[in-house]
Amino acid sequence: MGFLFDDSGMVSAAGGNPGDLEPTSFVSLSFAQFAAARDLAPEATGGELSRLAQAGGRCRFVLSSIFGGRTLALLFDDGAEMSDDRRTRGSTRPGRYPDVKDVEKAAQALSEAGASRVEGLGVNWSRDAEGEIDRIFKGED
Amino acid sequence: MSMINYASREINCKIVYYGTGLGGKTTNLEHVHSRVDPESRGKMISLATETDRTLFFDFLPVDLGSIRGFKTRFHLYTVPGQVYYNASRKLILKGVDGIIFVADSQAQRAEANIEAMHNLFENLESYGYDLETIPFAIQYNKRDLDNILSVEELREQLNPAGVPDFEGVAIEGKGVFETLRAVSKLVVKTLN
Repeated sequence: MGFLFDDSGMVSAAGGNPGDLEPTSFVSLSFAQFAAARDLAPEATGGELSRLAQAGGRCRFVLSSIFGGRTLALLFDDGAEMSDDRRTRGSTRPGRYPDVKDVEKAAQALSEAGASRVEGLGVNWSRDAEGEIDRIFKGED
Repeated sequence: MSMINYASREINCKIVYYGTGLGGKTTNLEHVHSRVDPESRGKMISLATETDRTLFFDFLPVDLGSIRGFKTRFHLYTVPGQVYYNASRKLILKGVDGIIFVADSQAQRAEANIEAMHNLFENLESYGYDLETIPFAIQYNKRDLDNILSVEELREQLNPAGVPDFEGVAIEGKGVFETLRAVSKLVVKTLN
């Protein structure tokens, strides 16, 4: 799966099948990992990459900074079949993955629809939201 | 800043628990996690040391459901309170919509509380944020312990602006939801 998140760790767009993964939590961890490592990437890659790619035990995780201060994160299942045209000298070529296409479509939709600070949702929205807050955070004090 | 994704009609709001080390920030979040309907919340992520000190942050997403066509979600974070993790604290504050300052009521922690409050102001200022415009509440935690300062003393030290404040015993859940509801409502009010 793949997703875009902004520089405050919020998801902008997502694509692919998350399976058992919880996307929101995963994005938050991705954001933390990425932010913690961003200063190291240029040194580690001799300036080749402005940001960092991360490889895990079973899955590979690729992070890349793209437009508008957003970050593209891609999670690859190494158990899945992978043809040679997805690799270049052992490196993953994200553009060959269907999930990347999904993210591209979502990013395009995002770009067309716009993503901005919330403004003027209205008193009714706020009142309904407060009702949900009372319902969900109803724990006894 | 709360972000709306018009393509997927989602609103995400970020609330950060701030305060001195061992003040009860993680305990607040753990209580929320234990009491909120599992269908409304995600997994709680904690990155902690072997001694259970928060290493980077705790994170809990809570889904308010669809409100007038917008899927609305709160992202609850704690910061590591230890002095030397300031880079992490600053990072987690980025894009914050609401802040809950968890103060330790014990007299011997008064200086640490004040230092943490100053640190909060400094870190917000570095982003150009103004705490007077960000939904903010203070919880005076550990009210069950001996040798605690009075609420009046704590107010004088930590709350000269008179923001909403609450007494708490987070380990028993007291004051946890009261504080969270207050800040959450202030956050949604900023959106109308």
